[in-house]
Amino acid sequence: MLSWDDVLAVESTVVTRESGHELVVVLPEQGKFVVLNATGARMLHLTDGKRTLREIANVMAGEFDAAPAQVESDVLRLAQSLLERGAMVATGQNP
Amino acid sequence: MNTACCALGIAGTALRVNVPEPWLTPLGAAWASWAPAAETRPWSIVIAEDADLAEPEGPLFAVRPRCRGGMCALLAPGFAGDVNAGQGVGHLYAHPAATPADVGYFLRVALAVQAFARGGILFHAAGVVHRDKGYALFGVSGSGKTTAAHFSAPDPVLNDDLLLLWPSAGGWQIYATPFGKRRGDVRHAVLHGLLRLVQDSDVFLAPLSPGQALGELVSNTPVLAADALWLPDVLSRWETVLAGTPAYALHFRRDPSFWEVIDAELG
Repeated sequence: MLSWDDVLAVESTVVTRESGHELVVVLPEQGKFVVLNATGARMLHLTDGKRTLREIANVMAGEFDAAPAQVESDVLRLAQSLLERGAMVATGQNP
Repeated sequence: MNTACCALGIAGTALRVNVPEPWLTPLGAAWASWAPAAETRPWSIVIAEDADLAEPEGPLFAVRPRCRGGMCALLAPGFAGDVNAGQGVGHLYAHPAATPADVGYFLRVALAVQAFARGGILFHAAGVVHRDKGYALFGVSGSGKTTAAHFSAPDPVLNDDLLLLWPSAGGWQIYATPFGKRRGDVRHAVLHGLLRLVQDSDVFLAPLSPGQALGELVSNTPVLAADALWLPDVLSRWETVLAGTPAYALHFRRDPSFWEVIDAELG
């Protein structure tokens, strides 16, 4: 399970394309894809191998004017899902 | 070992294949009416037996091509193949126990690469020509392509598994291929709709969002969906197709009633 101090990066072979209000995330190694809404797309863009999940959630809570608890929950759930699908990799922890 | 040539061409594609006799006869028979246009420059594909390779452990179609920028490799016990889009060539060394189906799969890979390099797209889909309009019914293996083609009788079926999309002045055309089951002699039609198959007890069409449509189409693009270098161009090409063609999820059951829904919405 991921923790708030985990740092993730987008898997290097992933190819993305904005399409309407969505972001198509293609995983060529697996021949699969994921479609993210605007919130998910922003989270993916903030996942740069440097920010912790907590820092990403804080940035998004400010940008989307949303309750931090809700954003934190969404970020952790989406990060776990993208990690399991192979779209992201864990690069370490920043306490 | 005697070898001989045969040729395969669809729209602007052309493969000139040099293949040993044991594999030539069934392939030549299957491709007898698929000669390329005389003005189309062919790629040279050479198939050779290599008894020094290990015996195949399974069919070649189970081997995932590894591609980067139009250079694809297929490596597995019994097989060593490569396709090079830059040079317009392909080679397959195969153990004598390999089958014509293995050779046919390699040629599908070569055709997928060449088609894309020349402006088209090979597409996992069943193609049905209904009221002179072409419909591509697509989805992953098991989604019902063959079933939907069956329940489209007596409409012509370009192919129940693999189509070639090719641009034309009148829009994108879907072309028949010799790699699956067909019905009738129609070889191509203007693409009128892209329909993602969903087996269901209810019959209806649901529009696909642009992102969902793009993802579904790319994931049903054989060979090239695995090429990280070409993938941005694959996405762009599908975007041009989607710019002129509606895409829906077609919820259907095992009867012909889905054509009534399609006619009402798209006919």
